[in-house]
Amino acid sequence: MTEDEVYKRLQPLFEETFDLVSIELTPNLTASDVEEWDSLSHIRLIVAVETEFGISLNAGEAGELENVGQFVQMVMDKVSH
Amino acid sequence: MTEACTNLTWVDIVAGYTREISFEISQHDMDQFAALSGDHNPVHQDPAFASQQGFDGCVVYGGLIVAQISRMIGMVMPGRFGLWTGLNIQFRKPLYVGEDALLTLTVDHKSEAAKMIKLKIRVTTARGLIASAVCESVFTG
Repeated sequence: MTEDEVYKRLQPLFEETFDLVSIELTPNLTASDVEEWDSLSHIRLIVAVETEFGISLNAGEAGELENVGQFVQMVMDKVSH
Repeated sequence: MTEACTNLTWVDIVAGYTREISFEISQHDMDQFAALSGDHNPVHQDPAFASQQGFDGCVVYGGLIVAQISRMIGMVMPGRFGLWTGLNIQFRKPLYVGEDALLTLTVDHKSEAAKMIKLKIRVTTARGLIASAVCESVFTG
């Protein structure tokens, strides 16, 4: 799976989770950049990504993520294994 | 009689876990919900009107079906340490007063990272599927 494909599949998940009509996903995007990105929507996003890509994250892995770019890389790593 | 909440731990909850509760909505339940909610729509209160609308009797309030979901989530699964955070429900057939119904819950997804579970719910009677729902609950235990 390419990085572009991951971003494309993440786009609707972010929009639905944060109730946004559109959001520009960039590698440096963080929770502080999105007003609706609180702790509950964060865990909803994790569950949505796990379901969409058929992967499982543990608490440590989720806690290490600092931006969307790292999130995308983690998804690609998980999907490829 | 007051039921006790289950004390399930996070380890107890596994994907595929299923529980069922049976229920029947009475006219008393309907009257209480009308008073509580302020919803006096005649489809729920007037058999003649409900019949004109094509129903076989007064239609049970969707809110009363949601109340049974609350009972399942709060008391059975996940129980004491669950915090209900989301619900998406579709009402597919009317439920009628006095009809025997079964609510079945299945754990669809368990996220270790989020400590959240996604639950699928089906409400059925002898006539088939009454409602289906997807719920989410954070586990606080």
